[in-house]
Amino acid sequence: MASREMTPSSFEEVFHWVEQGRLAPHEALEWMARLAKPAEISSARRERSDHLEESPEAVLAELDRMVGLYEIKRVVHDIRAFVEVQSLRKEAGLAVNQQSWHMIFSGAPGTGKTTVARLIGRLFKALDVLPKGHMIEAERADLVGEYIGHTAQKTREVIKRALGGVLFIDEAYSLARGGEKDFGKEAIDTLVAAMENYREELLVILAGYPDEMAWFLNTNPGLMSRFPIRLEFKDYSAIDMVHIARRMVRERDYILSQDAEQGLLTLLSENEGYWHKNAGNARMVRNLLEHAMRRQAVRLVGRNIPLSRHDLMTLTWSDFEGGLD
Amino acid sequence: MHLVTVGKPNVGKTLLLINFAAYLGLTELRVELPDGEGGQQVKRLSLDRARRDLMSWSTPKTRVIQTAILEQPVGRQRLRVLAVDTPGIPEGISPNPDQRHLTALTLEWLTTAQMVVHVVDASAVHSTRPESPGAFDLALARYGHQLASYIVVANKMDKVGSAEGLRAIRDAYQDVPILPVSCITRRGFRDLKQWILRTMA
Repeated sequence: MASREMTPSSFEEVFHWVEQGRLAPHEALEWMARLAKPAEISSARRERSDHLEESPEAVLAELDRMVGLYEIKRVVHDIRAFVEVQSLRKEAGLAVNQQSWHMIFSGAPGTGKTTVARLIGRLFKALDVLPKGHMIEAERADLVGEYIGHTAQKTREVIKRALGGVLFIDEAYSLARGGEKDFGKEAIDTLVAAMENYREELLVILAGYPDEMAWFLNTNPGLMSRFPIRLEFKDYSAIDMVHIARRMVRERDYILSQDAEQGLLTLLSENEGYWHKNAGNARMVRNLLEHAMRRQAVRLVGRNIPLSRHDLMTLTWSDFEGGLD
Repeated sequence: MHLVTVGKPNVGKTLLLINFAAYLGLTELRVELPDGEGGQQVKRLSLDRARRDLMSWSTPKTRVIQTAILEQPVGRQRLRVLAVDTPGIPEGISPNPDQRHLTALTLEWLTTAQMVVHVVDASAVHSTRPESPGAFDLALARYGHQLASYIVVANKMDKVGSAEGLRAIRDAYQDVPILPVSCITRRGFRDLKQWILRTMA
């Protein structure tokens, strides 16, 4: 009778107990009814509050669910702690640090820079640092104009759209590429001025490849001090990429067969270092998977017997071979 | 979209699906059956064949969870529903581990399917037959009350004594939609289709 007094905490546990013969079907259903109720209510509440306010914990949990990025997760958690303590200090009537949060993200393509930037916007909104928390993505072409005076106007327009949220400038080093006479410099000046003017309402994130970003910051010494937070996005390890692959296929209703997972791991670890600059990490995984999905379709169409759900979902290693060239 | 039929053994879950497919104008069922070795087997069965192979008149026949695709053109679109037919769940804790496993799988489907069709035998109310509605059905109705789309199908309305049975069911399960259906006379099929379309919309 001891087991009867315990309460199952999840659906899985209820199903397990049914299998073990500890619960009759009608008792199982009673537990399920009880388990379903609070969950449904809380999810409904969460959905409603989504529009109004998101808790910092929810955003951080989403960040923590990303594969790898350990260093970045730590820094973001630190930022959160700092912001919360600052607001508590403010309530207590203590002096508050006028910290600026502009950031530089350096890393190869496909290492999660854009995704993290978006999460940071939402986090700062949840922490009441930014009023809106949306993100505007911009690149050189959006900022730099064609004739004298055009650049400042264009840049200001982009900044206006980004006010209250995050302005994410991808491949920011290209703004300094043209040399002394290039309009890119004007864009940087306008940006820096706006960062001072809208201190409370704008978060600027500059992103790009590590080498080029280092060069960019060296050409423009003033920038270093204006972007106090610099995050390095390391390349994913082979294991991390397999995790990413697993997550991606699950989202698309596919599964990786065991040999496919093993083969992918071998392929990725053998090629470690090979793709660093060009192939683009997570994006390469996605390309590999998309290639495999097409090959799987070709393989299945060639077969004459009817296909089961299982067949339609499984990606085998033969689908992957030849994907990386 | 998944539609799952649940209920006690021998209340007519499988025949409901087959005859409902016939009502929708399908001529064959594409049925997926687990082949017992972890894989799945796909069979195309004509409806007559399905009636013969998948059901029996006396003993519970469905021993595995089988799925079939129901298709229905609505306007310019074809709506597809993956119907999941589950084995009947007997009252009480079964001594057979396989049966318990199937029960657990069926309960799991209840939590994942978008549509839950709870089949009860209206003609067996107040009888001592195993398909007579009991504690399991009551608990399922209570659980189903919380689901977004749940319906009780009072089956076998063509049989003697089913009208009283329906009344008793309506008294016992309050606040849930109850649909009298007969797989033989096709009574209630139109309402069932309407319910599915409404749920999908």
